[in-house]
Amino acid sequence: MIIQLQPGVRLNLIQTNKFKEITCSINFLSELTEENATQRSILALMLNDRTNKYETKQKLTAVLDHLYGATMACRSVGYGRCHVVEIRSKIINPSYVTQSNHLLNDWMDLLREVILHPLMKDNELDENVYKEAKDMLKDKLVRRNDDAQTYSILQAFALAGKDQPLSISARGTIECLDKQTCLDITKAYCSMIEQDQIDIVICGDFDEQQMVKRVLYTFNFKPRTATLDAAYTLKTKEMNKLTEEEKNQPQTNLALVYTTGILPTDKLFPALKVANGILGQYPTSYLFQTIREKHSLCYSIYSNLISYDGVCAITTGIERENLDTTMQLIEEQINKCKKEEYSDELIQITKSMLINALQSSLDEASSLIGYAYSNMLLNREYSIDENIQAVKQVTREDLKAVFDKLTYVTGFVLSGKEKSNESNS
Amino acid sequence: MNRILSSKYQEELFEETMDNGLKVLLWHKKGFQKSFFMMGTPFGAVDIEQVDSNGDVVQYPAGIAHFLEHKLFESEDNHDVMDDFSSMGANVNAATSYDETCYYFVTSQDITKPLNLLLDFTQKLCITNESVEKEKGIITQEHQMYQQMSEARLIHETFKSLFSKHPLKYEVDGTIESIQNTTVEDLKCCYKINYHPSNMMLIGVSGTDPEIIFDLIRSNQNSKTFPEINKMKDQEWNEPKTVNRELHEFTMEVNKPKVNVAYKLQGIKDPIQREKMDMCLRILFDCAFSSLNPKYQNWLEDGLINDFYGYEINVSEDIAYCMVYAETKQQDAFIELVDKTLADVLSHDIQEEQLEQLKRRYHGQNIRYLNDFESLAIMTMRCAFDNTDVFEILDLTEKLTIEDVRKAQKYCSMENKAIIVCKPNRD
Repeated sequence: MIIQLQPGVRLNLIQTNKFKEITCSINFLSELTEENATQRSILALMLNDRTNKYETKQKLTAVLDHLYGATMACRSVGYGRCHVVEIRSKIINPSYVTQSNHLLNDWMDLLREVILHPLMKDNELDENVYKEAKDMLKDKLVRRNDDAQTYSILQAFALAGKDQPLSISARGTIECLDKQTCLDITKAYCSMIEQDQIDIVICGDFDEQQMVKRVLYTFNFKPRTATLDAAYTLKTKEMNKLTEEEKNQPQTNLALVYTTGILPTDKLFPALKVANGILGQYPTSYLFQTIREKHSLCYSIYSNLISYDGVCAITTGIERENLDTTMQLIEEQINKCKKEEYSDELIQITKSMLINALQSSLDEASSLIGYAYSNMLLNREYSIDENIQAVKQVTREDLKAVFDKLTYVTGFVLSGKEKSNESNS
Repeated sequence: MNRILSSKYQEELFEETMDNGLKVLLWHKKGFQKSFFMMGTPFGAVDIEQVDSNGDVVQYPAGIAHFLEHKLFESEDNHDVMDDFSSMGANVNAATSYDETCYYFVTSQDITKPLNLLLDFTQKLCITNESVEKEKGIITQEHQMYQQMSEARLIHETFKSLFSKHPLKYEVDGTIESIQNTTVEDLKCCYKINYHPSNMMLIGVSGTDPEIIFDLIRSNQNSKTFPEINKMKDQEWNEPKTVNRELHEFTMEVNKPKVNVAYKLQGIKDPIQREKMDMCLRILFDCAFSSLNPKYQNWLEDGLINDFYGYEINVSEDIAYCMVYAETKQQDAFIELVDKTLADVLSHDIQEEQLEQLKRRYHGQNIRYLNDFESLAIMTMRCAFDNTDVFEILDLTEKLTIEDVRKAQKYCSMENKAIIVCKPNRD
């Protein structure tokens, strides 16, 4: 049930008695720019840290514990051209506790406190909370580069998506972070509350009418205009085949970027999911079967869809000396797909895996919420059943059309210098 | 089959032991389409020596449990079991921990075929010299992947500092050398002893009718015969009380140093006492090292800790430890912080109010835990291997008293400490 609370503010209620908890996800949507991403990532760390009423971490923890260990998480996510700050909170269903009378109202009060009443001084966000969040984000951004896999994917995206949203990380950058002031973040906060498109999804067992009233009473958001369109197709240009960087580590990490030219709302999207399944999403896929199982070159190799950018990425970790062989084998697998050298059996297996995943999402609150929110982002009503039917109906012609569109953009390799047979003791 | 109904947790659990000794536990999740089934053996990475009734010792290369986990997925004619699960619309996977190995699948479709397959592929080993050799490249790459993850390295180096005899000092997948030295014979011998149905456990979490599930399992198990086996005991390691290395530093491709302060404690034999001790230590650590402690804010402001910070407690049958780690440039100040804070929380009663607050938190967490099919299955399996009752373990939380916490304060000795530092290799 989707209700328009105000222009630009929607509430989606998923009523089900399957879960022992009630989950609320509140999403603030804005344009994905380096500055927006950086500012809102600082904000995400500030919001659930301290509030006006609960001005220390200790007090905020105490109120969450009073609500039987309710969780409160705030994160920065990218969807194509858009940036989302998501505040997600889970609370035990009142039927599992004895003192349950005010539980849901108290929970909503806490959400209001976290979102609408951050710790402020003279109309500006608290300098200490800001400073702590800024330092923390900086550490997170630096540490992210320690992880070889993440680093190589981000580098590949930065190269392939130059001047386009793909190159911008939803967490922001260190360069931009260093330029921020507390006043900048305060302005970003005000803009988020007053101007962002807001989508609220609540999933669990509750009385729907009461929940609508509760949400309306709790937040009372003002009307706003919602004009952003998240999905876009990455534009390609002439680029180096592979950019290599050396690091003192045992493994060599590879990330390759391809454009698909297909967006989630396109008719060919279900076929793209099947095609990705044939190529590299599953252990049955060509990449895993050939590069891991047949040639023992890696432990894991996968292809992933970055759906809102019209992109597919392949990642793996190998020995440096096997780089050329691996690159060649990956190319061979893609060519095999382009030449339609896949069996009906593999198509069936892949469809069956995709359908299973869609069906399983009906039994998980987080998947239901994720699915509902992506429908809201794409402004459509598209049930899981319809989605399953669409996957079932994918034909060989559809798959051919998808593989025809698959185009290599560029790749990044972070190569290891350490010899693998060195013992680390 | 035996049915246990809990109105408090609104859950229904069934149990039955098959004629061949396989114990089955099934959570019936009415209204759910999804099913999760897991076959587990209490044979994990620490089990590299076993002793038979005559006192004879069988030795395996380190990492054998993990190697075996990889090879179980091979069926006759070199066929990959994963493909079969996939064609049934089921996702299969496996995991090896220090104490157990388990194989599981998830599906939202009919369970008949995948459940039969789970029982069949874990109850038959089909390996050849060639297929074992081929797997070594894959496992080596897996090993290398963990080698370049600083968190994994820090934990592993900590175990190497704490233990001199106990096999926790080895990584779950062994060493590059032990992977290379593993043979078909090692794997077969280890399989025969540890994958016998009387040693294993099948856990299910499913919306499917329990009668149907148990009929299927019974008929599958009754159609097979298994050779008699000698019961083996785990090797006793006589791990000394003191730590192996008091200070250990190593370098890696990281931007900021990471420090772990670990204390070696004594294992506890009785499973209920062990679980209780684990919880009480958790309470003490939550009071001392999280936002419940007002000083936590100062540590952040002084840059002693950041978001890469935490603590871990593990009380097992034969070993135990607790640790506090952080990413910090102020190594000495952090070590002092841990020492002082721990000494403080161990020497004063915690407030009744704090205990009640944490009990309330844990109660909510326990209830929410029951939603997660995989976590629920793992908890059920561990309880069953320990011969304890899941509901009894869940109920422990609300019964904890200050007196129990006092016992933990006495138990948690700070005498045997190890410091482990991961340094950037560019400095």
